[in-house]
Amino acid sequence: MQFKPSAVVLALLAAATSSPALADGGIDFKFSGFGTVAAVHSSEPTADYTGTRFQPNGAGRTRSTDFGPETKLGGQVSAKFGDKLSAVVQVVSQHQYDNSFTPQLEWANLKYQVTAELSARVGRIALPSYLLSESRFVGYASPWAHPPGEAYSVLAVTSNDGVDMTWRRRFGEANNALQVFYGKGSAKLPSGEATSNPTWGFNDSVEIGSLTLRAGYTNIALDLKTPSIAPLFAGLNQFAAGAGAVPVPAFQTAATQARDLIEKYRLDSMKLSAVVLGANYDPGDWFVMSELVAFKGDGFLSDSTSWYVTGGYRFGTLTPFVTVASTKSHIDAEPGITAAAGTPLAAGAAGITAGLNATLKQFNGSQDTISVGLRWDAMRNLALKAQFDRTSVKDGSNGRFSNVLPTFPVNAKVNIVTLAADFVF
Amino acid sequence: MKARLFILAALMAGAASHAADLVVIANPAAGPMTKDQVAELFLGKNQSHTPIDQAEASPIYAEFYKKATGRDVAQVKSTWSRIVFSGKGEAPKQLADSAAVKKAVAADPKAVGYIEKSAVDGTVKAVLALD
Repeated sequence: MQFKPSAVVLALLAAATSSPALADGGIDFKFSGFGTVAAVHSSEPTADYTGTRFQPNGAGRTRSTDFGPETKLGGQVSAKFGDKLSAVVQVVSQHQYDNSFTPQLEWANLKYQVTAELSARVGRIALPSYLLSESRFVGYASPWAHPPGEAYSVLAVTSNDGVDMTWRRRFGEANNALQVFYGKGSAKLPSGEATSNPTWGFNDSVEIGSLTLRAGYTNIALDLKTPSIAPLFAGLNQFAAGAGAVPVPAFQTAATQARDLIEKYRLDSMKLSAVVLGANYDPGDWFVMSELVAFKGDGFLSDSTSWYVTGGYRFGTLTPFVTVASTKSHIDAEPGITAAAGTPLAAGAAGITAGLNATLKQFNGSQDTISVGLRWDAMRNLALKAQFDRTSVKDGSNGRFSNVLPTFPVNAKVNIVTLAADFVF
Repeated sequence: MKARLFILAALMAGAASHAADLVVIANPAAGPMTKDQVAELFLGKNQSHTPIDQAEASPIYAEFYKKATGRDVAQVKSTWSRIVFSGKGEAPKQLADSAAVKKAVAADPKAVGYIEKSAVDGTVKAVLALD
């Protein structure tokens, strides 16, 4: 039985709610919710556009117009138990790995206000990698029909089971918040599972009037279980054993190279880290926002640099906006098992090398997107949005697309249109 | 389209200038506040006081946020939904009218509200005029 912080929090919450000491008006409950209904159309029939990395299909290949990528519904209950203790539970239903919309427990944590400046939380907490991490599912709170995937899908896991502490302090005109967190997380993929243990990091944000600046660091030790890569490792292991059994120098060197590759591309305890710098300036009538993600990864999850810049102007209830986003993986071709050249092992070695490079390409998400869109605050609690994205896939990669057919064009240019209704209640 | 927007904006500006003067009120023991302090408080950037809102559908709500923060109702809603759904805080409690706001502010040394200037009496203190 695994330790489940969220279950502990739910139990504590239940205990606190039924506690007679707090029964006399000490508890303040609030329910609120958010949601998005969105249709996404993609011009590219040989690959799917998805809203998260965990969706098994999307717009383009599976359905030219699809409600799956961005449609979601969230509910949140918060409770205050006097001045110091509070709890929040958030459940989100969206298209997920098993092709269902089964609601998932996104957050369930207890917060204790230690002093006026210092607070601590325990339970399932939003993984605070980005400027908008904590509200990334709340379409109503953002100008876009969807966040820029170039930056926001680099670290796709959104919650962390563990603890965090936040220290807020005002320095003159500046409100500073420093957060540290530690925990573990898991996410089910359409094929396989990703678990991280531990996930830790820290971030600092400063608000000076209309300006927000943020710098954050996230460190993840990731175990990836993806059946699709298993045959490649089976091949490598077989090659290492076979070549290692032959007492000829070239064979021995080839076996060593194969063993080194197994270690280099291992899928457990992969070290990943990301530095994210963000800025937002929003004086009311207009806004600009930008984030830069410098990602470092082991093995197939190569280093990458991602960023976006977005800006918009508010004409009453209409907010047109423009976004430019880019992500680039820094991948060198894998030379593979070179020592086997000229031996009877050459064909096997070449096959493995080709397999490694094909897998590297799958993990290479290089692409650029230019987006234009309009938010219309049509009614109280309801925003309607239209967004047009033009995505250019780079460097012979498949970009952020999934279910890619071999006929997917090299350097594909894909038009994506999203119509969304975002609401809160 | 553009011309229509301008006419709409002009009408809205006209309507605002004819509205009653607003004052920000606090407990009688409180000191004066700046517009920036009030804006931070009502946009969730500062937790030093407890903001008390009027009803979201009331004209005084829209006018207060326009004058104090430069933001319209939808923007304020969007800002608070970001805070609420980040689990970082709760939107200010909304009371039915100026009398209810006055009563709540008089009873709580940390509370800050807003009412029409003409509604101010000895139970609360006007800490900032918005006109």
